[in-house]
Amino acid sequence: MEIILTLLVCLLIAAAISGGIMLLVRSKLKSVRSERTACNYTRRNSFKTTNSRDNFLFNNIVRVPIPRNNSKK
Amino acid sequence: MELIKYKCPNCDGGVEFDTGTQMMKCPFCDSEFDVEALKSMDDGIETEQQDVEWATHDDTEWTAGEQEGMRVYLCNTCAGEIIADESTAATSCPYCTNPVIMKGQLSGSARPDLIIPFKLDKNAAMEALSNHLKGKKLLPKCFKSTKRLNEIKGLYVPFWLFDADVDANMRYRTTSVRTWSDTRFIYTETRHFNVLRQGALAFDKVPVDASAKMPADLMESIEPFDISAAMDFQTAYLSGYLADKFDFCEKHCIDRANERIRASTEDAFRKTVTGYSTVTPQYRGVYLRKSVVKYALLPVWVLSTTWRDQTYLFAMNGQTGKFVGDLPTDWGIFWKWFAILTVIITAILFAVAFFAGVI
Repeated sequence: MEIILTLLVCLLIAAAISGGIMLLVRSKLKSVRSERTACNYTRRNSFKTTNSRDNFLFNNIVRVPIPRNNSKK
Repeated sequence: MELIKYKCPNCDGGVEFDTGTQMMKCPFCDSEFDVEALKSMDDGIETEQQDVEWATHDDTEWTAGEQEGMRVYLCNTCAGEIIADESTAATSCPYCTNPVIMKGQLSGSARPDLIIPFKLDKNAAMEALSNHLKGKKLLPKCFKSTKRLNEIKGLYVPFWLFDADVDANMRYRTTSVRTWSDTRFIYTETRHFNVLRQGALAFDKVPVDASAKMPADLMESIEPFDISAAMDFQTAYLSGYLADKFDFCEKHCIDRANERIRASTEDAFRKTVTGYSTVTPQYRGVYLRKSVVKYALLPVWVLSTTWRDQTYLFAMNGQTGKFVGDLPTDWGIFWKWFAILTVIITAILFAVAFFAGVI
């Protein structure tokens, strides 16, 4: 029973990995896509920052107790 | 009035009533026939030899919608009639194959400002297609032959080119996380910041496809074009190639240019916000300060093929040679390799589980 369960889990993981690999290979067949940006047409040396400010607002600290191992009995 | 003419069954000559014999007599071959017998014979022949009735072509006329996009030109070389749609600016005569340029389509406000001449020829496009098909494991084998190409044409595609100076005002909420511990606790400190970035950026000649016939995503896929190599427009560059006039005016295309410029500006300023664990944009103000529009014709090799009743369109940048086009998937090969990989990986994982003592 344990062997079958392990085999099933291995099969599922393998199917997921295989599916990912095959979809990656398939993606090579698609080369037509819209351009999101116009970065190829940025004028050289035109980028300027006139104002740059990083303002601290607040902080919060969360502490989590470290669980103790009761090894002594 | 229907006319009846009796013909001699012997020699096909016109028979006449002979008063002497009271019968029909052929003056050519002297054959004599009974009037009633001749009439019944002719009736039978008429029945047999009835002309085939052709269904006549319905007199239909061009509807208003059908004629709307059509233009008819006469070739200067052979006077052949060239039928083209309203946006065609250059083509070749279907009779004498001489190049034809429709000057009227390129005059006045439709005259392009710039043109990038073709740098690569048809052979380069064919070679690029071959290379594009190579090494594609999931491509159906019968698709790989370049002989199935329907057409290959060098086309000057109309584009609007947008120059823009942009001012940006960006605000982000960022956090910086630090963790440490002592003997009793694990501490996590989260520091919150308000980050401001203001500045400017400029763009030159952002192209937007102005043709209704060419899919916009296909045209964007073959970018970038080196617009610095563009020349002032001359009709001579069009000779030997096809060309279209714009279908969409610049006002129709400006939204697409704005979208791309905005995305580039946001990315550029986002890159200046560094050293934080998380960065969340709060406000993104992008303002186009100055915008100039030019009309250009850019070179594209367009190839098309049909496979299983579906048309596949490929395009190559006629200046840089960048080649794109979606290809079909052979699902048989896909699932075969999926099954093989799944079996192999399952075996490996099972072996690992076995030797690791999991089972």
